[in-house]
Amino acid sequence: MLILQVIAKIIKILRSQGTPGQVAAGFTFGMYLGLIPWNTLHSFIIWILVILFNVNFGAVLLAISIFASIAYIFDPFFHSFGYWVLVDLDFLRGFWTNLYQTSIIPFTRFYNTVVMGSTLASVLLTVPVYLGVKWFVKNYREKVDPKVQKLGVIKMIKASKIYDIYQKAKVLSEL
Amino acid sequence: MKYIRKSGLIFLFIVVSLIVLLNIFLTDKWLENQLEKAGSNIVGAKVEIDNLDVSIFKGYIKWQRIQITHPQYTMKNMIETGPVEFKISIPALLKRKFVIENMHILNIKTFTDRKTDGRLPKKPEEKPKEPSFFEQQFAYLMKEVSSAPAFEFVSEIKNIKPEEIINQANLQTPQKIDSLRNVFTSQIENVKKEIENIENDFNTLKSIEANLKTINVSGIKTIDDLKRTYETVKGAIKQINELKEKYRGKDKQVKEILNSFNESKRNIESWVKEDFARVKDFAKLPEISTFNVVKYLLGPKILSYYLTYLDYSNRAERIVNKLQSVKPEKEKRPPRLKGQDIHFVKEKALPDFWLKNCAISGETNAGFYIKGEIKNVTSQPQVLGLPTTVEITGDRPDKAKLNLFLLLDLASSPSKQNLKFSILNFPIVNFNFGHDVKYLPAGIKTTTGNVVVELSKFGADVNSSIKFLALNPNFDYKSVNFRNEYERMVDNIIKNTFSSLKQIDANVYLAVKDNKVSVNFNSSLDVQLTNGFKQAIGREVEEIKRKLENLVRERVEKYRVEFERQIDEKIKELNNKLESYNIKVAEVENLRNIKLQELDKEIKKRSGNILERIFK
Repeated sequence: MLILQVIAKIIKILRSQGTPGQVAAGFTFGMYLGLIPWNTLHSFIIWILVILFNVNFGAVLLAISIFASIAYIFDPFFHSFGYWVLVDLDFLRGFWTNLYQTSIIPFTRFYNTVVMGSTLASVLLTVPVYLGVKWFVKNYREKVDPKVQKLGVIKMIKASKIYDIYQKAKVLSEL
Repeated sequence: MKYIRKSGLIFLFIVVSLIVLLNIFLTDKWLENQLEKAGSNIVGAKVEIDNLDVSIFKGYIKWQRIQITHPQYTMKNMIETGPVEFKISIPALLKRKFVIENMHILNIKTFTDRKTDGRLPKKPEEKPKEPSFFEQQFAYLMKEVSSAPAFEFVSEIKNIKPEEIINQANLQTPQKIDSLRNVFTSQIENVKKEIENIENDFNTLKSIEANLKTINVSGIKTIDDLKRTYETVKGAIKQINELKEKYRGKDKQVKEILNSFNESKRNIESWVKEDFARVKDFAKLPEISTFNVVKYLLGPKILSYYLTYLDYSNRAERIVNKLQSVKPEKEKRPPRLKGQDIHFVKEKALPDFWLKNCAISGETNAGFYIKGEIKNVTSQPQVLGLPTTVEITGDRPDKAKLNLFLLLDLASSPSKQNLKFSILNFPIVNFNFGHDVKYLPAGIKTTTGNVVVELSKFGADVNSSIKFLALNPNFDYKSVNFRNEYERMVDNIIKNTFSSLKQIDANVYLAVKDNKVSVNFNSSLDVQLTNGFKQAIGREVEEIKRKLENLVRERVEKYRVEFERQIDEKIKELNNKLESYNIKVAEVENLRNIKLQELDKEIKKRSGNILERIFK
């Protein structure tokens, strides 16, 4: 049932009114929020951006749930990656040391191995995730969705009384 | 405005308002919980803060009371404070650093009663860590001061059966003698093998001797025959020399075996002494020439104090070193999603935590009114470059005084610590020594005492002394059931000695150098108690020692005698053979020379006669 719900959610997001760019941006922001620990300044700023900008909120939530699980699994990798960047790269030491002494920036907790590892991983994934999701949504809407709508199962669901009631309820809720 | 969500703006406004409200109503409570949790984790028992009030904008923190539970006595507070208010530096806070300029902690009280148990819920038991070399040494010392064999011996003195002790003590000398016998036997056998043909050669010598003896010089008719015989006898030297050389050096070898055998005889004596020492250990016979009572009396408590202090000090150093390490070691498995914080230290910058000055005052559970100052408490001393100092003085209406000075310099490398602590003219009531030795006083009911502690730590090396002096002590004893008259005697002597004391002094010196712990206890009390102890059981101990030594010697003697006899015989046998052979060689050689002289003489004589006849 959970899988079905997730699939339904994904289809709903894909068919939503938002542009592919909005869905992709929402998904990318969600990736940041899922991967980076919540108690950091930049995580907080991303939340504000998500609230302020017209990105697809469903995509944000979906990406958070997916990438939070990935963050848990990849935690040791983020720790090692962050340690390498913060400690092993000697030429960056001076930069980190100065940054550590500045105001406000330390609230990003950049000096934490997992925060640094996951933030850098998110930055590296930004472009591919954004472009990938955008391409996927666009192609889905143009090529896949018309075929899905013609599927017998979908037609049957749409013809059912339950779907009728759902549509009415949806209209009422939008009033 | 295409990209801005109007509803988002409204939502953000609501969220900000909520945060402000939560900040006003809930942050203090949340922070209080966090601080309590962190404090409890450090102390190992509950830390409770009452009415914490934090104002980030005004830059102050205050609370009504802090209770820090004693980790061992969880119905007591180790420290309890009254109201405290202090300012925090806002510019530092913006850098995520916590800097307190001045703090006043008033009404400090120690060892106060708690209304509830301050024990923390039990955590799942962690796998016990392998004790370090240092901890093992302390455990060994603790064991040494906790068990007093001399006193245990008193209880067992009647039950000691020397025969049984000898049977159980596993004497080593008989085995050693056996293996020694094997070594010598094999050496002798080797020499024996090398001279196994000596009988044949002896016979050859005898036949040469017989041949030489048969030569009758006057009976040889012609000069030519004499000359031939002369040449034959002369040539016999070659064979004699060959036989002589054949066993040359063997007697030297036998001599060496004999020397080493004599050396071994002396070794046996030292083995016997070792065995006797082993038996003494097994019987737990006390050495009562120097009797270190203070070690048993104060040792357990003092060592546990030391261990606690050094444990806390090492723990603090470890944490601080981690926080100020330029290149910290990578944590292998930090908790999931927590990671590892790397503190980028920079000289002359602000440390992450810095309590510049803290004035304290209050009353201890011992009735001292204390006041003092704590300066430069920091998480990164090397960044700050200043040592932490604690100076506390205290006094009581009865003129007792307390002084504490601690200098903790973790900024220098290696780190330095200096602790000076003294309590003078302090009335002690119901002080428990904390040992398990049967006869010694369990504690002091009343006394007035001085305790002076000096400790300096440089890197891992420690030098320290504790001087303890109790005047007019009134001791407290546990009731003892006596198992024999010696126990009663020892108990009487100890009680008499202690009751006659006008004062009890103890000096303890503890040092740690190159990771090795050495400790030394001494007191004028030791001499008095040693004499008393000698008087009570000295004769019995000496008697048991004598019996045990005799028994050890008796057991070893039969092995020793048999060994010496066997090896002696074998060496003698070898010596005899070689000696008689050498005598025979000398005899034959001598005979050959005589015969040669006789022949030479005869040849000359007959040649002279022939010449005479020619010239006549």
